[in-house]
Amino acid sequence: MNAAAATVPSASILSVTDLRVTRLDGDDLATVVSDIALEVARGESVAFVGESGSGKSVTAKSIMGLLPRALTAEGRVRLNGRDVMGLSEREWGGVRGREVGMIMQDPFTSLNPIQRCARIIGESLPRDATLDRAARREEVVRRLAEVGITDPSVADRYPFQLSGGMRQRVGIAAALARDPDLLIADEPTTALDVTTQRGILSLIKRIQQARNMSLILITHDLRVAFATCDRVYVMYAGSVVEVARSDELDREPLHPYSSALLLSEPPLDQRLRELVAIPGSVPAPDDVAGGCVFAPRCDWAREECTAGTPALREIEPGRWSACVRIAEVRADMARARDAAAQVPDQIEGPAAPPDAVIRVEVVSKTFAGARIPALNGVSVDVAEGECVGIVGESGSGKTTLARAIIGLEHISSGSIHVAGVDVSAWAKLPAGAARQVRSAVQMVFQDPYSSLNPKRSIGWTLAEAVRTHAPRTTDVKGEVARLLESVGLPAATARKRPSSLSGGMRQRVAIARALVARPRVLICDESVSALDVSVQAQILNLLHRLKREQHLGVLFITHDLAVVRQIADRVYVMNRGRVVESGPTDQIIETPADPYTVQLLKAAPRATNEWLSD
Amino acid sequence: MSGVSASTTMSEAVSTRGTGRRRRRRAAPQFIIVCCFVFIAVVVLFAVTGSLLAPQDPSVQNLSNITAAPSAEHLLGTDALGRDTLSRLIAGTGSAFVGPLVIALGSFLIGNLLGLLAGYRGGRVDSLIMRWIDLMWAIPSLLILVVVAGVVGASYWPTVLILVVLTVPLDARVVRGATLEQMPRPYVEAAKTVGVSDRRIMWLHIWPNVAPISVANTFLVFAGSVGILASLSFLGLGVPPGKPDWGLMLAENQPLLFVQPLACLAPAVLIILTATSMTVIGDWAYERLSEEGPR
Amino acid sequence: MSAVTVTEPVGERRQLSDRWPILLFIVRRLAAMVVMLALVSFLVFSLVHLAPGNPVDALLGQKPRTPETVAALTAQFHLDRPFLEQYAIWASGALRFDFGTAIQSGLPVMTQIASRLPVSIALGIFAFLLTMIVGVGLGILAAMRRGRTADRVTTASVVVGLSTPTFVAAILLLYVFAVLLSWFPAYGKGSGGLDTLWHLTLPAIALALGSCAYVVKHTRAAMIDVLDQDYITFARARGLSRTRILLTYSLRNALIPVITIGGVVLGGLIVGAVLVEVTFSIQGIGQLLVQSAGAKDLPVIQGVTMLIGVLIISINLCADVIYMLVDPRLRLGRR
Repeated sequence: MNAAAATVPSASILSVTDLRVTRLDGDDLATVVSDIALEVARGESVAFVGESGSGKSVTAKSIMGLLPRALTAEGRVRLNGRDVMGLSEREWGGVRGREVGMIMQDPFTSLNPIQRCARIIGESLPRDATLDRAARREEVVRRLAEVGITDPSVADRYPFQLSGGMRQRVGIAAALARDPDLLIADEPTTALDVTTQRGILSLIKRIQQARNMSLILITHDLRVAFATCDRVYVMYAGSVVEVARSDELDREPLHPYSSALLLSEPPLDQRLRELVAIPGSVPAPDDVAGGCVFAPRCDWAREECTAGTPALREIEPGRWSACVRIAEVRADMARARDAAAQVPDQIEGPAAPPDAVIRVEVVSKTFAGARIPALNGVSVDVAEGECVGIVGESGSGKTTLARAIIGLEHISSGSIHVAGVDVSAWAKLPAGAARQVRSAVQMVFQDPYSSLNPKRSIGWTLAEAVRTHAPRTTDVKGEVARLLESVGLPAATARKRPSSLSGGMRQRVAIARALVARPRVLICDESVSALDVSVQAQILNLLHRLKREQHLGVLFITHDLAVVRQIADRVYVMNRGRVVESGPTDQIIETPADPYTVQLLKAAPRATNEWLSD
Repeated sequence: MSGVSASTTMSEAVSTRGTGRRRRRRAAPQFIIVCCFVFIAVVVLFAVTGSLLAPQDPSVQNLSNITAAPSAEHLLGTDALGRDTLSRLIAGTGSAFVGPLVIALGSFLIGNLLGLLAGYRGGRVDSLIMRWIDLMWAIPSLLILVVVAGVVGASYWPTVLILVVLTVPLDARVVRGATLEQMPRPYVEAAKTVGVSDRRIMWLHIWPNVAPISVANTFLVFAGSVGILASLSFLGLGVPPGKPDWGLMLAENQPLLFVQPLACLAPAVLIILTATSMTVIGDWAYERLSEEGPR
Repeated sequence: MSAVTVTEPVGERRQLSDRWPILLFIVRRLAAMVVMLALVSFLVFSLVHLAPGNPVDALLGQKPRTPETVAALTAQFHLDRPFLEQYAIWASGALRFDFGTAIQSGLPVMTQIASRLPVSIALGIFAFLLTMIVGVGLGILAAMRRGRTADRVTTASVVVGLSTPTFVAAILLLYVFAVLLSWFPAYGKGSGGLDTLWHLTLPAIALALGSCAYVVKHTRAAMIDVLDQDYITFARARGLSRTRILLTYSLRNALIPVITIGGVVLGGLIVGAVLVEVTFSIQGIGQLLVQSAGAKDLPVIQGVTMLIGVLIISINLCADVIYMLVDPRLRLGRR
C-alpha cells in the first residue's frame, strides 16, 4: 500500500517539488535545503530522519509556512491538491490546524505559560463549532482523554504545573483540536525522558491509525522512525539522500550515509568490538554543493561522485537513492555491515578490583528547599582501567553524584574517597590534597558548546590546564600539540576559538583538557548525549581507546542503555536518588532484576513495531 | 535619570540579557558611529585645553553688547552680561566632561571589583551590596544630591564623589547579575575541576565574558552623569554662579529664550550630543566586545 | 522533573498554595517596606545633625542669631534631649504628617506641602499616562516592524530620548512650542480645569520624554523576546487568528515585565518633576524642595524627602504585587 502511495498522486495529501530554502546571513544567501521532493499519502506515516543540520525541521516548517523570518522558501508545496506557497497569513489561518497540524519539539516552551490547559485546547477547537461553555468544557475533557489524560482537573492547570510528558500530551491535544488531515511531529520526544518518549510515540501512532491521519515524524533516531512510520526519507546536509519503506531500509540501506548512520547507532542487544563512526562532521550545504553531499565523508567516493549533483533515482520499486555508485558498492556495503556486527572475543574482566580510585559510600544529598533527596544512600566504586556506567533518567541523581565526586556539590551525609583522600568536605581540603585529588579524577561535561570559554582560544585553554598541573613545563606549546593529537585533532586547532569548532571537536578538546592532569579516572557526565550519532560513535571510540591505552578508568553517566552496553564493564542503575541495581553490564541488560530496570529496557528505542505496542 | 535605577525583581533578567549568542542587535550605521567618535574627540580636546582655545575670555562682561545676535566677533552671540557664548561653552566643557569621566571610571573600577566578588563568592559582600542597592533604589540619586546640597551646601567635586558612591552599587549590580549568569556555565565549572585558581577564574575566565555588558553600562553611566551634573547646576546646586558650565548657562540664559535663544539652546544641544554620542559608542563597544566569531 | 506516567496525581499542592504564596509575598514585602521606611526616616531626621556647624545654626537659616531665637528653636526641635529621643519625637510627629514649621515662611510644613501637592500629582499622572500609552504603543509597533524604518526611527529616538536630561528637553520644548509657535503657555499652572491641563501639557511632555524612551526600549525588547517564543509558532501552527495571537499571546506575555518597569518609571517621574517644575515655574512639590534646598530650610526638606520616599517605596510595592497577580508562574510558584 505504502510503496504504491508514492506513485499515485491522486491519493497524496502532500506533495512537495523543488523546495529550496535559503537563509540571509548579513548580505550572503546560504542554502539550507535544496531540491527537496516528497509525497505523503492519505493515512500514511512518513519519517524525516537526519542529524542536526540536515534540514529536516526546516523542510517541515516550510510546508506549514512557519519559517523564521531570516529564511525564505521557494518551490512548490501542494496540500490537498492546492498550492500553499505564498498564501497570506490570513489564508494560512484556515489551513493550519485544519489541514495540517504540528507538534513542537520542546513542550516546556511551546505552550503559552499564562494560559490554563483548558483554554489552550479550547481556543484551538474549530471556529465554526459554536459551543456553549459547558459543551466546550466537555469537549476539552474528551480531547484530554484522547491523549491519555483521564484526570479532568488537568484542564484547570497551567503548563508549568505539569510534567514534560503531560505537557506534550496537552500539546498533542491542542494540535489535534481542529482534526488536521496531516500531523507534523517535530522531534516530539527529544526533550523528554526515555520512558516518557515511548508513551508519547505510541500515543501518536495510535491516534494516527485510529483517525487514519497522515503523519510526518521528524527524528534523528532511525530506530524511532522504523518503529513509528511506514516510510522514511533520509536527509543529509539539506538534501534527501534516500527514500524507502521502513522495513526495507532497516534490512538493507541503499545509500552509504543511511548505512553509516544505521551502523553508528549503538545496539542495545549486543556489545560490538568497535562502533562504526563517520569521520568528520555534517558540512554546510553550500560547502558540498555541486556533487554528492556525502562524498567528503564517504568510503566509496570517487571522482564521479563530485562531478554533479546526483538526483534521487528509483533503484527498486518504491526505493530511491541519490548514490550514483549504488550498483557497484551495494555488495561492499553489505560486507561492511556484517563486519561491523562482530562481537569482541572476550569482554575484559568486570569484577571491581579492590583498589578503587573513587569510593562513594552511602552518600545522601538533599538540595535546600527540596522535599525529596537528590541522592539517597548511594554507594559506587570506580577503579583504574575499568569503565563504570551510571544509567538513569533526569531527576535520578546521576549528575548530582558526579558533581559531588568532583567537588561541585556538597553532600549531606556519607563519605566520598578519591585516591584515598576523604573529599566529603571539599572546601576544607588542604591545597596539597586538593591537587592530589584533581590529578586523580577529572570530568568531561555534557554540553560541548558551553564547556569551553567562548572568549579564549583552544590553545589558551589547554595551556592554562598544562600550567596548572605541570608548572615546570618548558614547552607548553608542544605539550598542547601533543594533547590535541592524542584526541585526534590537528595541532592547528590550538589557534581557533570554540565557536569555529563542531560539537564533536569541542568535546575532544574538553577531553584533552581533562587528560592534562593525567587522571586515573575520567568522569563523563552525559558527554555524548548532545552530539549527533555519527559523532557520538567517534567520541565513544576515543574513550574506549584511552581506556585501553592509558589504563584510564571511566565513570560514564548516561540515560542511554545502548551506549552503556557498548562502553561499560559494570553498570549502576539509578532511580529517584537511589541505586536500584548494579552489576556486570551484560548481566543487568540481559537479566534485569529490578522492575525499574525492566521498565527502562522496555522503553529503550527498538526498530520494530512491537516496541510501541503493548 | 529614570533609566539608571531599576526594580530588583525584573532588572536582572533585563539588564543581563544578551551576553552570549542570544540576539545580535544592529549597531547604528557606521557613519553615525564615526560622527560620535569625532564629536567626543572634540569635546575631549576642549576639556583638556580649557579656555585656551576659546576665541575670547569667557568671563569678560561687556554690558554695552548684551544679548547680541551671532556675528563674526561672537559666533554664537552674547548672553545677558555680554559674555561670549561660544567661549563660555568651550570653557564649560571641562566640568561637563571631567566629572562624568571620573564618575564612570570610578564606579567602573569599584563596581566591577565588588560585582565580580559578590557574584563569585556570594556571602557577606553579596548581601551588603544588595542592601546598598535596595537603599539606592528607594531614593533616587538626584533627590539625594538635592537634599545634600540643601543641607551642606553645593560644590562640584563633593557632588562628583557622592555620585561615584551612588553609582557603584548600580554598576556592581549589573556586573553581579552578569557574573551570576556565567557562574553555572560549564566552562567555569570545568576550570574549577581542572584546578584553576579562583582569582584566575574570576579575572581571566568570567570577566572577559562579563565585559561587554559592563563596558556598555559604563558608557550609559557616563551619559547619565552628564545629565545629573548639568541638572544640579541648572537647579543652582552645582557649580557656583558665574562659572562657565553648560547646565548653569541653561539656567542663567533661560530668560533669554525670547530674546537671544542661541545662548540657551547651544548648551542644551551640546548636552544632548555628548550624552547621545557616549550611548552610541557604548552600544558599539558592546557589539565589538561580544563578538565570538573565529579569529 | 522526574519521569511521570500519565496517571500520576499532579494536584498535591493545589488548593492552599493557590492563595498562599502571594499573601506570604505581600507580608514579606510589607515588612521590608517598614524597615526601609524606618531607615529612610532615620537618615532624613539625621540631616539636621549632619549639617555643618551645630543644628541650631542649620535650623536658623538666614535668621539672626539671638538668644531668643536659639531658645525657641531648641524648644521646638527638642534639641536639649538625647539624639534618639529627638528622633522618636520627630518620627511620631512624622507619622501624623507633622514635620514642624518651615523656617522661611513660618507656616506648618504640611500646609505648604498640601497646597502644592495637587498640581504635582496632576503633572505626575498626566506624564505617567503619556509615558505608558505612548511608550508601550511605540514599543509594540517597533517590535512588530522589527528591522523596518518604523523600528529604526523609534530605536534611534530612544537613544536620543534616554540621553536627554529632563530639563534640557523641557527647555527645547519651551522654545519650540511656547516661544516659536506660541501653541502653549510658557509658565505657570493655569487657573484650574482645562486651563490647568493646557498649562501642564508641555511640562508633562517634557517630563514623559525620557521615561517614555525607557518604556519603549523595554517594551520592544520584551515583545521581540515573546515573538520569538515557541508558543507563538505553535499558536500559528494551530491556525489561531492573528488578533488572538497578538492579544492573548504576544501582548499579555510581553506586558508582564513592563509592569515592573511602570514602578521604576513612576519613581523616575517624581524626580524629573523637580526639574520640570523649576523650568516651567510650576508651584509644585519639586519647586518647593529646590527652593528649600537653596534656602537650607531643613524642616521642609525633611518633609518633602519623607513624602517622596514613602511614595516611591509604595509604588514599587504595588508594581511587584501587580506583577505577582498577573503572572501565574509567580503566583502559584514554579516547580
